[in-house]
Amino acid sequence: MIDVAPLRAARQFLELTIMELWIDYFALGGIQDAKTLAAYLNGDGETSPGDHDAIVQALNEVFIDRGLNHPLDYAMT
Amino acid sequence: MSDPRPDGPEGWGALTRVTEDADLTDSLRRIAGTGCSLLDSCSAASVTVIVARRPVTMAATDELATALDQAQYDMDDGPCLTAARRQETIRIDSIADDDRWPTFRDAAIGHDIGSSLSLPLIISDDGTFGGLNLYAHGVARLSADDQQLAATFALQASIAVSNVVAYWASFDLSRNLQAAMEHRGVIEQAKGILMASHRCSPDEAFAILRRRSQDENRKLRDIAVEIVALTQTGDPT
Repeated sequence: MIDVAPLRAARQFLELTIMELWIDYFALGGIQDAKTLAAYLNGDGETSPGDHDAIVQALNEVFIDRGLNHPLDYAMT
Repeated sequence: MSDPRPDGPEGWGALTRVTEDADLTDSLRRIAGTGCSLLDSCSAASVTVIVARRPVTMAATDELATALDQAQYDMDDGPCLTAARRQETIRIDSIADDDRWPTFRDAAIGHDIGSSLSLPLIISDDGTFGGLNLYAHGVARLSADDQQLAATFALQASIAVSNVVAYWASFDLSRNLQAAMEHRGVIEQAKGILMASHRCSPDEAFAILRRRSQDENRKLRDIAVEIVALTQTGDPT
């Protein structure tokens, strides 16, 4: 099972609402609705590694805006 | 006494036109201006909104009101912040003789403002508070009748502000979703191109895109745009 704790911590650090994150994730091709995304980040539910990486990418792109380069690790190599 | 009826003064019709404004700030500026115009002695007005405990002047009739609000924000205290946070009306007949908020008092004296009226705006959004701030030159220029009229206006304005906040939140969401759809479309096109050229799965195509995003520290959609554009002229990969 993929560890979602770093994603949860990143969202809180970046002060992103679930809806803000969901829109970015959706734009990247994410397939879950906002409610399912919120549950997944709370450790309730699963998704594919590819979809997990869309969430990671959405967070990493906010980090790009803040001058950092992809600090979160991806599930797929 | 002035007419406190909601449909009384002609200017109150402004509250029904806020959705025609260009954005939330225009709507709140209209509310501040209308509130000030209702009172003969009002010299300046502003709307303070407190989100996540941080106050900000969302709209003001002029820089005078902004400066007086800022003097309160600098100390995180003052009549308009107290009115917004405690949801109570505060009328000061003589600011120079009121020692509760010295920084605000000094700023007001510096701008020749002698009296003020701060009214709460009840915003139907958890954690968000608002206040309508009215300032007047001279002492005791905002009367009890003014307070009653302004309080009735503030109640009406609260509904308008709540609706405006919800309206513009929906507007922003709609605009963000439209942009997201456009970005998603070009990313899906780029994935399709990569799937064809690399004979790989959608997840693997996404991984190719995000590896380039990592290597070049660029947004994935910018890379997708490049791939789609290059497909029309040459080798995209």
